[in-house]
Amino acid sequence: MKHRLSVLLVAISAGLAAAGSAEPAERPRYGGTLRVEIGAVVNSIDPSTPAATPQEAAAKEEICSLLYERRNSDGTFAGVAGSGAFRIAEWEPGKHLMLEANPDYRGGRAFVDSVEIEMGRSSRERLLDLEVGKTDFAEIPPEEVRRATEVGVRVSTSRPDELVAIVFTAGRPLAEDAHAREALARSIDRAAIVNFILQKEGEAAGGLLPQWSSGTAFLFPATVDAAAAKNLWAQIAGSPKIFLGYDANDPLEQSIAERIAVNARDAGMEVAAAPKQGTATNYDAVLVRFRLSSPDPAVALARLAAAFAPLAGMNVDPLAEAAPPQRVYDYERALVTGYRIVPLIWLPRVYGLGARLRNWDTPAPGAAWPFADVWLGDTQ
Amino acid sequence: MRNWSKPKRLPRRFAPSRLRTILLVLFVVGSPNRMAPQTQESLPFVWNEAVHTLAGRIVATFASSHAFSIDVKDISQSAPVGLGAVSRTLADDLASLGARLTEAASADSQLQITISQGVEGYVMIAQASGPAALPAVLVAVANPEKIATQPGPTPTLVRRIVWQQSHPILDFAQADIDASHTVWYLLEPERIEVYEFSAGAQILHEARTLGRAFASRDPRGRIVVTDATHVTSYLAGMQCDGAWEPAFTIQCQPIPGQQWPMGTVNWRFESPRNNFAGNMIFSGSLEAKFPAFFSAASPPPETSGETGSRWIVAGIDGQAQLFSGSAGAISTFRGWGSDIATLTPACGSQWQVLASGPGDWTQPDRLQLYEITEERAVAVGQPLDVPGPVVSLWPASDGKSARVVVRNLETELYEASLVSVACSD
Repeated sequence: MKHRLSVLLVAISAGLAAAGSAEPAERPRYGGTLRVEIGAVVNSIDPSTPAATPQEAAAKEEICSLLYERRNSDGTFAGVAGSGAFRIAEWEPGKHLMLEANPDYRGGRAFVDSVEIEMGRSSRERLLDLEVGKTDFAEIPPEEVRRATEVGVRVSTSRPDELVAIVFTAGRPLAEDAHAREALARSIDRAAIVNFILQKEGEAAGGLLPQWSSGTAFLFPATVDAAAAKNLWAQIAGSPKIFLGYDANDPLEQSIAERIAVNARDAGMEVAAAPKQGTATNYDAVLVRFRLSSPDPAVALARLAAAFAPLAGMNVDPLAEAAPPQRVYDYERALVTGYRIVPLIWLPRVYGLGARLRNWDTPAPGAAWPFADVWLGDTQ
Repeated sequence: MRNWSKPKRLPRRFAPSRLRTILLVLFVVGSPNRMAPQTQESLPFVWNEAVHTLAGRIVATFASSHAFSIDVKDISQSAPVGLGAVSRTLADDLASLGARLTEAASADSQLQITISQGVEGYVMIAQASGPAALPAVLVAVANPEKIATQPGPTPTLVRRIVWQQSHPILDFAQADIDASHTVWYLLEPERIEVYEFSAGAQILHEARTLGRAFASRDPRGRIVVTDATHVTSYLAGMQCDGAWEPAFTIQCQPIPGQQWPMGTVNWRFESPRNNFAGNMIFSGSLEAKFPAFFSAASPPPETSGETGSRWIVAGIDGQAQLFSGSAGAISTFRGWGSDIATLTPACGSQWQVLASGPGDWTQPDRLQLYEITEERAVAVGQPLDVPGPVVSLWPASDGKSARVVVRNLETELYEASLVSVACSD
């Protein structure tokens, strides 16, 4: 009787332990195919071939990070494709990519046997496939996080690390008018963009670095001041109109651009938001997105300046990687003071995770999808 | 038992003359909930350093005739320091740089100090509002994780009391005459006590009165054991050479130039004061004049430092300064007391310095081991609290320990102790 009682207690304890943990500890499993859906259409996975769109560039960056083991000091990929955790098994440009685990990868063979990437899937399709278990991993637009969680999709959200900003294009008459730039910057209700367009999945940006990175974002106010905008705009002769370009393939940019036009109108200004055609210099200002390539504030800011200062016609000194906080702050302040670059919002990266995906760790800024580290739980 | 005169060997930093003209008027304020922890806690070393640097930048940036008040807030909500301590330390530092305290009512500008946090660690930001408004001033708080040395054993300070008495001890030393005989010397302000032990039993006690060139309210002395039968004491402008012939005899004479042996350099003791001064001749005939100081330390040959060209001097202004082959100090370390000594590293390979704390002689003290890497001093291991002020600290002859005399505030006994470093994983 005593023996049976002990067995019963052990069984109860084991049951309680299992019930107390949603994902009981387990050793990783090898095998299976990780199914991935992305919205971008990637036509080339050759790093030296320029991408046609920012979306393609971002997706290509992730894919190449799986294929290449190393990078050069300037961030470009080094070595040969297939030296990384995965190598190409099937490749149908613009549609489908099958990668297989590289058994000789220096970091150790990936747990999954292969990764299957379907391209050009709309956010609606991706969300639906996550919901019904047809995919294991998909990027979710931040504005759709609420909907994803409502339908029971497991969501992983990074710290906000993608900046959406306005860059005034050098040489355009209105872009060279300091009053026009400041008027537009002050007219924008960033909080409304975060609350209504992004469904609170983001942060208003007054500076070029997020608070978690530099610790100084609070020094850059992001408040709307329609009255000041109106006064500034009134000092501009004639009835000018600011042409604001956005990425035609980016619904979020379109929503933000249209919201900016509404804010501007409230301040007595006129902004014409239109999908970009041709070069950015066809517009007084363009919406841009910049994903932090490093959590290090000096590194991230230097790369941001390199990306946008030429378009804005700004001559900036290099920023050393080891720059102290005062130097980083001064540099950031110099970049935004003239309103040639107008920070708007910070976006997180949001990933929808299938039920069988295990060991997912949201990548830090600059880090790629950690597909070599994940494994698949109960196979279907 | 004689009365204790409570000398203060650690005055606050003097305001440099060029800064005395700055009319920065300060008053410390804070909302009651923020400033509630008003205990006199001291800041950790890295925070102390950051506050000191911030004070310097504030004076350089906001120097004006404006009257400021200070408010400190922590938007990181995780800073491991009390806001009151930050505020007090900053106010002290600003005052030492030429500012003066006044009532809040006379302040026309507010100095807002914000503690924030980024991926690199904590940062302190000063913003002035009102007529003195200018761009923010930022100072990073050194991240101990980033400046930590290579992983390895953690040094732990161990203090072993070897002697206690009610009379002041200026220094002490032990000499092994032979395998079974040990002699202890205890240097007091006016005499030297000699004890001989054999197999653990005291067999001799003698005292010799020492001559002195001057009286001091803070007498200092040092014993140097030359060999088993010779010992030299330095005291109040005198050098006293003792020898066993076979009885113990001692002869005192004024020290030429008041020079005491300290490492590779003879420093001049500034009688009747209690501090040293000296010039250092580096290679290439470069001469550096050190500020008046209480003690000095130089790296031992075993470490990666360049012996003879690098010195830390614990100045009488409460700042320890690092000199490295040039006439000017390359770093200033705060939070150090008046007594420092180099220890041969028991863990690691860097130059290590043992330093007393910055209190006066009415307070318990603490000893902290620092590792000196290039221009930086990093506290390693936990500080060792002692029950009273450290009144004497000299490197022991083995280089691995220090002779430390503490005046125990509870027992009022002087404790001669050996402090060494133990390595633990």
